Amino acid sequence: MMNDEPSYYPLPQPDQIIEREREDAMGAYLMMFAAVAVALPLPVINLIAAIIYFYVNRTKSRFIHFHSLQSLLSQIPTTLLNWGLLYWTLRIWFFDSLEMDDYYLGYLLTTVVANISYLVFSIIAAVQARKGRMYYFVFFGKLSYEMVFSTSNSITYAVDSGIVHQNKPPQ
Amino acid sequence: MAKVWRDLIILITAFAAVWIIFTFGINEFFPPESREIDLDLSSYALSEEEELRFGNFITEMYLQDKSIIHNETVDSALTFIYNRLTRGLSEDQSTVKFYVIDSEEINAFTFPGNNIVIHSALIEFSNSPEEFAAVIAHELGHVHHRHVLSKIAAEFGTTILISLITGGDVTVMHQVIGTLVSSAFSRTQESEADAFGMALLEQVQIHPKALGDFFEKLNDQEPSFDSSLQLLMGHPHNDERIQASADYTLATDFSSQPLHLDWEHIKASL
Repeated sequence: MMNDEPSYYPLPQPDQIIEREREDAMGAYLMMFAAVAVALPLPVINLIAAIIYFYVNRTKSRFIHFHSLQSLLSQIPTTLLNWGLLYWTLRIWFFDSLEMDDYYLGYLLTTVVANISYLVFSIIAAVQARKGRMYYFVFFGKLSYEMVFSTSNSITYAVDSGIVHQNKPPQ
Repeated sequence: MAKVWRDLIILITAFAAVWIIFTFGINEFFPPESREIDLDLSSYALSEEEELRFGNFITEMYLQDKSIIHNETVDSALTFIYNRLTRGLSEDQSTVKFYVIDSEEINAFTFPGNNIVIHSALIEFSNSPEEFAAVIAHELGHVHHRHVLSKIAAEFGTTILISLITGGDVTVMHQVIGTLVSSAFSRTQESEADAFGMALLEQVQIHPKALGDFFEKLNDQEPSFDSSLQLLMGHPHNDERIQASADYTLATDFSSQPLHLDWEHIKASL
């Protein structure tokens, strides 16, 4: 990105993306739902799960790398919001040091809206990923694209180097 | 790359906008009335005696392990102040009973059945009988609006409240006492009590700003995290309440008439 015009790797088209890649890319979004369900009282497990998923899968292919990065990035703000809500709620109900006022209720509703939009967009992205298509979230989509498809990204992907087919029939 | 940051700004703006809309529009979506527990006990055929009996029972339970101050000087001062305040109350107002207990916490509680428990530290903390009268007037506001029963109903549910009034479980009563002394009234309830208190003070010729003065002094005393103060203050909206007291419009013919009490002597007698 030293030049004015950054260069990018070509986007993989659906017919170039194998089934396995599509499933792994979709998994990046779907796994989050399971994690969110577990993490509801303590909104950090989903983030840990996303980070692990990202590091395990990112070198498999550029397509998977993009989707798992987008999924990971996009849940950071939601997680922060949920943390804020948890902290605020505890202050009110357990430590009695803050009052439930309009700012809190406004924040509560905003967090609910943020979580719902996150879930809705994740479902759409999961469906698109399964079809072998790109899907860009506001900000996170573009950021992930920059990070994954820019030519400054020098990761060698397994799918390109053929490491995927390491298992061979008995000789 | 510039587009990425533009997107980020859009996202943050959207978040801020949604929060602001929800915060300031919340009274439109959910009117405050719908958020308060609407306590209508009339349909439960409870007599006033039953309510009083419950209130007295629970107050006695609370006072069991407290040391009540029986002191003629304080008692007569309280009677004097209360008599002045009742000049502004309608005839049918039930009598309120006061208990002064020995405690280091600056606090006062309203209990069910028109009982008010005052901590000795509150008397020591008040600079003048007017300030103390203002706090009492505020507590009378809670009594008048039956906030205590609403608070119990909000925490435990109306069914539990009714069962308590009509003869309840001692264990639950202990929990109720815990709630009464440890959790605050809602913001609306506090401002209702403030409004009632200030109107009452004005009627009996005590300057309503005494209430604001008292709150301001509390604010200065312990800036934060003293739970005992927060109970009386009803959490972080002190400034609003001080402002409300400062903004109180007095009738044009208002003249204040001091409470003739030797306050230092009363404090010394504690």
